[in-house]
Order: sequence, then C-alpha cells, then structure tokens
Amino acid sequence: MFDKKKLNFWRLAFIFTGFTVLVLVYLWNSPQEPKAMMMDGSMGNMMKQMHVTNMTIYDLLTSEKEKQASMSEMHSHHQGQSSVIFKLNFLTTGIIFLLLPFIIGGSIILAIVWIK
Amino acid sequence: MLQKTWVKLFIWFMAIFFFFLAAGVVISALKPGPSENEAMNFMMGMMSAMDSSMMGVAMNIENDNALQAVIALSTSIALPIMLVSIVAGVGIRLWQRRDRNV
Amino acid sequence: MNLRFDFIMHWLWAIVWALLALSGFGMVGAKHGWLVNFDYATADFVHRLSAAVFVVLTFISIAYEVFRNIKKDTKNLAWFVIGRSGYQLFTFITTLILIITGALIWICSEFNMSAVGFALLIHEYISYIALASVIWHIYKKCHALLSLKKPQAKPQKG
Repeated sequence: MFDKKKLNFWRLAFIFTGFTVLVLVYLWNSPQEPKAMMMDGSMGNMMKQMHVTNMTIYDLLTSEKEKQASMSEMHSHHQGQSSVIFKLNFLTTGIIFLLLPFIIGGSIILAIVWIK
Repeated sequence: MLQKTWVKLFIWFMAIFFFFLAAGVVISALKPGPSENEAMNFMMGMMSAMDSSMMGVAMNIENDNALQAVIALSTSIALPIMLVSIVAGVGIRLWQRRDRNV
Repeated sequence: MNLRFDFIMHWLWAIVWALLALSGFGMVGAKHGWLVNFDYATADFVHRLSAAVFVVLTFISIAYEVFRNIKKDTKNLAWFVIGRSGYQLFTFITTLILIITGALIWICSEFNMSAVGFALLIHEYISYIALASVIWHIYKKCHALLSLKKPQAKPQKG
C-alpha cells in the first residue's frame, strides 16, 4: 500500500488529514457561539426540505405558471447591476443554452458509438 | 513535457489545491453547526449576490426577451438534434464496423 | 516544446474545474461560507463565468471525440478528459449531470421550485462525488507528482 511510487500522494494526504483534524479539534474546543436555528445544512438540503420531500414525478413535469407573476415582481427590484454584468450574463447564458443541445447530441452519438 | 520545472510546479499546485478543497469541504461538513453570525453572513452574502452579480440578473430572466428567445431556440432545436445524433451515432457505428469487417 | 492538444485540454479543464469547485463549494451553505469569505457576489460571478468556459471546453472535447470516431482514429489520448472507459468515462458522466442540472438551476425562475430543488440536490451530491474522485485520480496518477529537487537522469522527451 505504501509503496515508493505513491509516496508523494501519501505525504499530501497525511499533511492535509492532520491539518483537517487539528482544525476540527480546535473548532470544537473553542467556545461555541450560539447556534443558528436556520440555515443548518446545505442549500440542496434546504431546498429538499422545502420543496422536494412531498414531491411526485407529476410535480416535476408541471410548471407553476400562476406563481411566475408574483415572482417576476419580486425580482424586478434587483436592478442595481452594471451593464457589464448584463452583457456577461447574456453572453454566458447564450453560450450555455446554445451549446447544451449540441453537448447532449454529441454525448448521444458517443454513447451509441461506445456501447459494445 | 512532464520534466519541465514549471509543469511540475503547476501539477503540484493543482494537487495541493484539490487537497485543500477536499480538506475545506470536510472541515465545513464536520465543524460545529453554523452560528448566528455565519447564517447572517450567508444571507447577507446571498442578498449582495442578488443585487450586484449575475444571480439577480439571471433571476430576472423572464423579463429579458432576447434571452427568452435564446432559450426557446435551444429547446426547440434540442429534439431535432437528439434525433439527428441518434441517426449519426448509428451511422458512425456502421461506418466503423464496415471497415473492420473488410 | 511539443504541447499536445489533450495535455492542454486536461489542464485547462483542471483549472476551470478548480475555480468552479472553489466558488461552488463556498456557496453550498452557511457552514461552507468561509471558503469564499461570504463574498457570494464574487463567487457567483466566478461560478457563472467559469461555467460558460466549462461548457465550451466540454463541447470542444465532445466534438473532438466525435470527429476522432468519424476519422476512425483509435489512437489512445492519454491526457484527454473524456473517453470510453475508466476515469474518462466517469468524468464524462459527472460532467453531463453537472452541466444539465446546472443549466436547470440557471433558469430556475422558469421552472417550478421542486424541479430546481431536485436539480440543486443532485448538483451538490454529484460535485461531492466528483471531488472525491479527483483525489482518487491524484492517487492513481501519483507518478505525475515528480520531485522538484533532483532532476531526472533520463533525457528530455519534450
């Protein structure tokens, strides 16, 4: 397991494991700040608790059109961005959504070609 | 190529960076729960991202007709491209097979 | 100096992936915020910009691979990011999942929230798996971590 070839990997691994353990021990021993009641867990988990727990496949496929009017009103006040941000947003969104069908198509080709 | 000093340094840098990232994620997952302070900072950070970064702009996408058009275009070409690529995939497969059998 | 296409793709991919991972893991939750110092405006900016670069790189690699198949080029590209077996295949699958779920999150106001929540959950867990797999990849390819001190006696291959 600890052969010569992997020595550099184990060096890194031990250094960083030690670092992680030290930081964790320090954090748990330091005086605890009052724990927040919310935001415990990741964004994905929060979304899961809020929206995904009672979900069916049917919900995934239907869209909530009636919600959109209020949502767009809610977001229309986020207008403090500079025009560079707007241009970059347009550029990146354009790139991603134009290339996405081609990526899916290309991976279908590769999947068909690669399957034994 | 791998013998160049800057390439070696660069590979070491990337390896160390990924180890740092893994250590950071482990520390974040196992550290004592988010304090009030952290939760506040998180929400403030997200609000500032809404206000001054692309997150807010992307939220506003349904008021942007050009982007709506781009997305509509990409969804409308997605299905034809998938069909074409299925045909092309089968075609390339046969094309490779024919050569192998000859 | 002979810079090979797959070598460049590999390291461009690594740099973009590292940027995406750092800004993305910082955004995961309140506990992870210290990774980006709670500066989510910058993190979001970096994440979206590098996502676009990432999609372009993915597109180039897939197109390259398709053309290689058309030209019946069976030469093994050792450094290439996607391929038909092993870690290359794993990278290909995780990349596709990350890009598709990421695109869903991007236009989140278009869809209902349960779809976005589902996409966010998958995006997060796949990125954990992918990060673990990067460490595994470093373990497997440890021979690339050469010592900086003693120069190799072998002649340079370029």
